Amino acid sequence: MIIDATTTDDMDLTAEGLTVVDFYRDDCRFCDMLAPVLDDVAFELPVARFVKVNCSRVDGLAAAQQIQTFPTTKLFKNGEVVDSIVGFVPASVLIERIGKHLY
Amino acid sequence: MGPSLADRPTLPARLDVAVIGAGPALRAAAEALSTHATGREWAVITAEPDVGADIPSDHLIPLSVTNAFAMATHVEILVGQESFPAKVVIVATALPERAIASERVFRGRGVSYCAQCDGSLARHKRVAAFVATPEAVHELAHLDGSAHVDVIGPADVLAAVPAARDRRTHTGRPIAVEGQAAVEGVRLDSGAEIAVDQVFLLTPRVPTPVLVPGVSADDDDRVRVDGFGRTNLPRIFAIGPATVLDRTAAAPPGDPAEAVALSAIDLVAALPAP
Repeated sequence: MIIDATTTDDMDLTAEGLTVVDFYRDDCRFCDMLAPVLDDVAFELPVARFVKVNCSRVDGLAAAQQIQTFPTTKLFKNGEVVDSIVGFVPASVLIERIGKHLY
Repeated sequence: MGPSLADRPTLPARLDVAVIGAGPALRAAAEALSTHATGREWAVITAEPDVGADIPSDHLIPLSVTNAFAMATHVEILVGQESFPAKVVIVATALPERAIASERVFRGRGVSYCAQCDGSLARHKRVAAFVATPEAVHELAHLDGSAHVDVIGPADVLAAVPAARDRRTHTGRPIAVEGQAAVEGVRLDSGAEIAVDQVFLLTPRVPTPVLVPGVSADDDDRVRVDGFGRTNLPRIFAIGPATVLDRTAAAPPGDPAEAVALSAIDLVAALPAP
């Protein structure tokens, strides 16, 4: 399951454990392609928490998180950013990057 | 009469094998497929007329591929605003004729290849855009929200750039992206330096890891392959000068293009029907 963040407060979800956050926009082809990949990966890795943020609707988060390209997928471990993945990535690559921080 | 919508080549509903990229490796892959891919739906997708000329017209789609996305069940081939699925893809790219220093360091962190995708992030910023070909000129419209745009390109391409407030033109090409933690500027072959926050490289020959996101490549953007052209992504094969043999499986004897074409066709045959 992927949690849809609707306010900046939802970033509090990243405080504990491993959280994968997808920052995306409407009208962004790469973001559209990444969405089903993220669904697959969330299904494969239920031990991580998955959050997506529509930066076209949630004001201020993209700037606060210093997002320079959409989509950007950030991995948070106990509140700290441990990896940042820019653009589209296939599921196998995303699983490998997340797997490094699982335990 | 000018070109109309009806003149635009149509995309296939789906393909078994799509060959994308640029340069002579495309031709070699097409030849091998002509011989071995009988009964399969395959096509070479290239807008480069000198390469396309040698390819049978029923297997040529004369358009430029924007990206190929490796999905779980197929590869989605994006051509401008449209896309279609292919079972497997052979990437036959050429290495860029001229490298831009530090381009790779800032990729996704201030260097972008798609004005439509990342133009919104350049709003109120100082932007440089390299328009290598006339086809890229219309993409500048996506940068209208920028503080100013320095357009760099060959003189004949710049002639087609409409004048706009906050838009300046520079004849030439970028040779280096400059900056420490973030992009601070771009240096041109003329020696000129332009202070900018974001650089758009709007060229038809994008590096393979940009064309096929997620494909494993070395520091020179050469895709890591085994002797059968297999990459880290199961449905993506690669061939040509922009590859590096990096795996244990040795190349089989004979024509490398043939080996890659055969392994791609074998995979198509092994895949379940959709």
